[in-house]
Amino acid sequence: MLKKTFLPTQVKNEQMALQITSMADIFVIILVFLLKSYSVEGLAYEPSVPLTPPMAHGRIDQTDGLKVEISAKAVNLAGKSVSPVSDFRFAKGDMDSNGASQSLRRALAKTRPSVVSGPKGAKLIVVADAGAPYETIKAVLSSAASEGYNDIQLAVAHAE
Amino acid sequence: MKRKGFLKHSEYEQDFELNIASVIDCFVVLIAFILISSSFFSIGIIDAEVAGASEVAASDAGSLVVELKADHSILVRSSESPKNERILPKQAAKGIAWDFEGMAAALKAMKEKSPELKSAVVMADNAVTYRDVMASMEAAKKEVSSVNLGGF
Repeated sequence: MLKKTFLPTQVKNEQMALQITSMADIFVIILVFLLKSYSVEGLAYEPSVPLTPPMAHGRIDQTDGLKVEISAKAVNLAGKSVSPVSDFRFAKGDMDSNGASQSLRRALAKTRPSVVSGPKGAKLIVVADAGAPYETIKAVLSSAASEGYNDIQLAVAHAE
Repeated sequence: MKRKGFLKHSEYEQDFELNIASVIDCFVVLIAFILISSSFFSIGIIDAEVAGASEVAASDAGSLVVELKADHSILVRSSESPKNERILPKQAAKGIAWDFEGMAAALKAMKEKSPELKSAVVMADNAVTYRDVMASMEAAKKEVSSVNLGGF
């Protein structure tokens, strides 16, 4: 009897098929879950400057509005930098006697005619970094109020 | 040779497999895109009742006033009484921290004393961070239905 190793080896079937149906199922479930979670939980929003808003239980409002973003380096209105700030603070020369920023006021006044007004008046959404001092928030709110923005909303990262 | 039309059903039956590799590729790209775009965040909205300085003073009437001080102490008073209640900061692992539970308890006590007080105005020193202002508003909302920002 021949040793097993000397026997002619059988040609194995080279064709193989991966069974990836179950993986496809999982991907579909993950995809649907991600898409659903993005559409339901509030207004998905990407700020034009890097900032982290504070976490809070805010109400969900699907209506959009003019956004002012406050980061450590700039204050942006509708995605465009309007007031340079240094470490969240406006330049002293930019502040008026009412504690409002002159450059931001000018930009807000320019945008005011094109802003959609709600029942309370012109709407402005303030998206500020959690580390911003209240001094800067006050300056922005004061600027907005003096330019006739009566419906001011604060955006927060929606807490679960 | 038989015509194809006359073949038995079993003779021309073929095994076939769907090639879903490309579909999987698409899914992988989509999932990676959604996960990478995590800089998107869902925003909630908090209404800030904004008014001019004189109007704020007028709106203070009939409301509770919360003042956040730079030294992490909190002053709570009602517009009816000039007497302040001072909530001292508490010691935490990372140093001193705001005592928002104490603030909420003070608001509750004042509200029980004067049930007509249904709103609160939160004010803060310049150095207080927006995070702390929001946290105080959130804590105050547990006791008072309407909480507004003030001090400007």
